[in-house]
Amino acid sequence: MTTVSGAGTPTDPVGGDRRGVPAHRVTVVGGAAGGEATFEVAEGERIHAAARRAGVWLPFECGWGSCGTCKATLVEGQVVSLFPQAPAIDARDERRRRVLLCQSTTTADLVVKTTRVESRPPPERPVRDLRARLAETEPLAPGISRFRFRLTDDSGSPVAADYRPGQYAVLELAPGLRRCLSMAGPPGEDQVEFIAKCYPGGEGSQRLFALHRGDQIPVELPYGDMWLRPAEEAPGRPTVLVAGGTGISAILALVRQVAAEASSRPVDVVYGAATLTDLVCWEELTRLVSPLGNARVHGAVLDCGPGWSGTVGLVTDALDPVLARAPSPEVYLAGPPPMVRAVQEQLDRHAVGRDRVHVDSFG
Amino acid sequence: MTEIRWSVAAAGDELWEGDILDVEVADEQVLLVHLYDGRIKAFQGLCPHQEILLADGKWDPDTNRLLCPGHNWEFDMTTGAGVNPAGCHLYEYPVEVDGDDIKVGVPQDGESHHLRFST
Repeated sequence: MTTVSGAGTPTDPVGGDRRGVPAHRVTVVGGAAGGEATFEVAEGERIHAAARRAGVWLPFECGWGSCGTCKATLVEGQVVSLFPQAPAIDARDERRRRVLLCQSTTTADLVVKTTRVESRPPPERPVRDLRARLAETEPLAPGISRFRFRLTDDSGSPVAADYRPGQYAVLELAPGLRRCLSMAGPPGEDQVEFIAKCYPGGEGSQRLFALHRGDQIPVELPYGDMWLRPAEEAPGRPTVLVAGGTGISAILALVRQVAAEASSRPVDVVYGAATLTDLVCWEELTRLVSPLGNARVHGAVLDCGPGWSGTVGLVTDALDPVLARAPSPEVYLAGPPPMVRAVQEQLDRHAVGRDRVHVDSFG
Repeated sequence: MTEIRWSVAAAGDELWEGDILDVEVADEQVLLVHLYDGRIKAFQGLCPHQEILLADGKWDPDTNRLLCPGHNWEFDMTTGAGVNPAGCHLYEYPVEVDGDDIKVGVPQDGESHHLRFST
């Protein structure tokens, strides 16, 4: 068995033994909204996670440094960035002493200021540290697999995953090697599924695909802001689910939710991949959607064989006619960043308000 | 008439033309904007969507547009109006320039000056 968990090392304190690792005191002042809290951070531990483990909930959303929701102002002390290339940090932040708490640790006591300090998790993101043991790998296409992990707490007791379909987990594939993967299955079970692609030269995916059955890694979940907004908030409003490549992982979770609710909401699922082989779970998708009275699936591939009746082109080509027919839709979008950006521009052109667009760009 | 309590929010040389600055005024989070035409504006400092600090956003002083870093909500900072999504609005505080001081007025109306726009 290859164990890739690095529990107990300074760079990987998730659920690990932090005895002997120097700890520092962090004081958080909750800005204009008020609130104050103090907690300890072990050297190497992420400040935001340390706060959460101490029951102190600071603003956050993505968990890995792309959204900037967890940015705080450094009042006293210095932080050490664990991800200096984080997309959410720029030179202006440095001048303003703004730091990403989700990707920073410290070697000394600190005072930081956030917009708020809460004693409870936000209802949409009750993040927990868990252990995930690989139970099964199901190859779906060359270089694309579905991974099933059993979830336990530190003591080894099974834990039912608490998340909203569409959200994702952060997997620590090796010390300091963290990757976001969207859950493809329903919540409430002591297992999670992820559909992922192996990228040549991609350290994270290489590590994931090298895992053996029984291997255990630390995970944190749930993160993200994409989940199905209740249909009763806007009866009759079309729901459009858009997946590119392995963005299907998150979109499949949403389709399963719609199917389980036997919802009558109008739903269009638009799913694109490079080839028909890469269009994994296509049959599963159509099987889930076909009993629903008001839902349709649209596929797009660049390279197809004979017998393909869907779009030959990009996901945006399949989406255009859907948007033309579905005015003011609620859109859920998951895929690789270039595809997500192209669809966001397309949605702007179709005058879909950004309040109606929910995105997961890790697909 | 509602009483307005004026406080010094920043010194003039802390906010150059074309720049934005987040400040706290009377326990309220405020965003100051110094437009290229010389006007100084003060708006609610948190996005109406998910309370993200707007000063962390992408600011273009040439177009007066501010993009919230959270979910790309876009605002016209000459008025505080939402460009996308349309229909949302930032609360605007009165501003006075008194010598070298930029003063922001907070109405003592018992109301929240943080407008929300949920979806």
